[in-house]
Amino acid sequence: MADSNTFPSDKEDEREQRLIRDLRHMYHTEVEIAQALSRVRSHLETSRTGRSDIRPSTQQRDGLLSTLQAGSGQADGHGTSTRFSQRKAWQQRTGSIAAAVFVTLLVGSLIVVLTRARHNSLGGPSNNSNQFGAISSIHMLDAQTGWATTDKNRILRTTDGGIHWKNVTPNFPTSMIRQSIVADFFTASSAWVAVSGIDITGQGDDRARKQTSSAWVGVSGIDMATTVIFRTTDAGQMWQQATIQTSRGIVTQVNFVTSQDGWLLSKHPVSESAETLELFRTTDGGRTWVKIASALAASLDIPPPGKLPFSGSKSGLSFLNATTGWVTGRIPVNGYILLYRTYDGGTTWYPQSLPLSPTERSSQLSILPPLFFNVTDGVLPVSFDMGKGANLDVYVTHDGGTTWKRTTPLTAAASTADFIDVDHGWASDGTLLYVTGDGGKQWTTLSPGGSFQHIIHLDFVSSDIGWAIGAIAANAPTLLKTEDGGHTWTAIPYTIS
Amino acid sequence: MQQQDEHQQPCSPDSALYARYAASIFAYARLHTDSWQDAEDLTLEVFLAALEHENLSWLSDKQQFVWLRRVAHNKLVDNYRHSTRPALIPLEQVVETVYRDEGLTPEGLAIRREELERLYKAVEKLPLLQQQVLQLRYEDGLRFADIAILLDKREEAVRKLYSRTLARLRTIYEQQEGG
Repeated sequence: MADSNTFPSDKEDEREQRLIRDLRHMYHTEVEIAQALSRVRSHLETSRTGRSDIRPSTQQRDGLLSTLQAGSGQADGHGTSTRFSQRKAWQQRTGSIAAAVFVTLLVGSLIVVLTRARHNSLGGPSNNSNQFGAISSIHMLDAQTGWATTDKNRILRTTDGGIHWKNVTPNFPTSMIRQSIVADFFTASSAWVAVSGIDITGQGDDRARKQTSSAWVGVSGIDMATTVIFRTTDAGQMWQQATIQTSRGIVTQVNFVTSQDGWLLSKHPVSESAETLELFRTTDGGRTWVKIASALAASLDIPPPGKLPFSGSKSGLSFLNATTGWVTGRIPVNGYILLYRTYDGGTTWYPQSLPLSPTERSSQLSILPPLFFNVTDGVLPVSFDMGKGANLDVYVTHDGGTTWKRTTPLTAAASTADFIDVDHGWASDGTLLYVTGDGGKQWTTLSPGGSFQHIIHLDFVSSDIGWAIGAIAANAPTLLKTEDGGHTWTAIPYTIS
Repeated sequence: MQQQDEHQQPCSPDSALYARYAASIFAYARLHTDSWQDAEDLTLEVFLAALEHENLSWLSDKQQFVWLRRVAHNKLVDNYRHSTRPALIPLEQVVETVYRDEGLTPEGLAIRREELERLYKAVEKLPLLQQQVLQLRYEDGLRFADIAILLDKREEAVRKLYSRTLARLRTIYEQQEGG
């Protein structure tokens, strides 16, 4: 260790910074503490109100301390049995009072709470919903109805366009510390995240996504061996659950194409260039699951015919129907793609090629699962970096994924994108919004500005109406909405109950 | 500070006392109680006691803090079950936060997970006093002077203990890089 008279090396300094950052993550946040202090303060205020009835009015003006200076003191804190007996009463009042007075209780307490309150006006939760977290992913079915997940792994549902949300989270097993949570909400349109290991996405056949009340949620245990799948068919009022034993992995995707046919992808990164994978299948709506394919630790060579590769990182899977689907990902070798297709529901897999451009053939390519809008039309996002910055090339199919056609690459480090049909799509690098109305042949760049910053998620339901989520590391994510195709965005100060 | 100005109310003696010391007393309460609810209750009782104390406003800032801490201690002895170890946020929640904040790839996430697991184990193996210092510093953001009062130690001793603790934990990252 460096002595006090010498400067730490860059390496030591970096370790120190990382340690401090990690330690901060390990403890409860200032916001949680501030909320607790606000609750205590509310009880003090309540106590003051109650006591003022029996205090001389002239003393009320001087604040609680001086008001009670005339009362009998208990300097050492002992002998407070009367007040201690009131404790239960305060506890009973906690729920109703805290909710009602939360906003006013913020006054004069901690700056961090006020900062948070200001942040709320920018599109965060506007009530005492910190127990639920802030919305970090949204899946709207239409302009009014949709689902969302929060950064505290809550499942929410709205029926008024995202202003009011109801917490419909199933009761996770208390013995299971949540490893990751993924969900499929049968959305009318889907969103995907370009770089994602713990991916929350809704994908699949648009025709099946007419039920606004069905959802599946997958939760992996800390032992990385147990995954619990929750499902609901009544908008989250009731949840049924099933358990899957995996070899060692984290559930990263749940994908349903009908109310009965679904797949679950579990994987475990072994190195930067390889990860194990297990694929489970259900044909009874999630009651029972069977492992149908796997890629366990092996050599990095090309897998045997019909098998998925161990090499590469898998970005996800997507099924067109009960039989045809794709697994996508990235192999860190120029010109190699990780795009495997199945025609038998996921039992056997074979690589599919793409008509790469010369530039793409000399770049490392990352492919995201395709998104289909009907039995024939779909898009397949491919990102690559040719040394001058990231690019997004949206491949399009009109024959159910048999062939894919390149479009015009979008020169942008798009981290999120969404399509409502094969023509209309949006992508964002976090600050700018790129819009296409002709299936990626041309992209228009918009600079919405204002609250449209650090965008990590886009979700459109029509050519005009969409939502976005912005996430600055230190703050809760913000929820934004547009009604003019992305030109202007308004923060939604939503509530969760 | 601008945000505070927008919401600031006239500052009464009791609100000033609360604003200044509630976080520290709540931190102390959490060190020694089994639940946040108990810690909130204890904090409430301490400040109710403060409200009924005739001469508290005559004390200096430090004396007020020491008085509040003593009340909290006495109430703990009287009414509360003691906690054994400071509670950390579940590892998986931290992993998710790190994953989100650092924009990790799945591979990077696996590496960071192992690193965090080691850090968790190391923190949990620390002597109780060192764990308490870490909690008061990182969860509550307290100054060493305040931590010293809460733990009934000298400030210099707390600083040294903190420094030794960090040095010990830092070796985890050295091991990771070395391995």
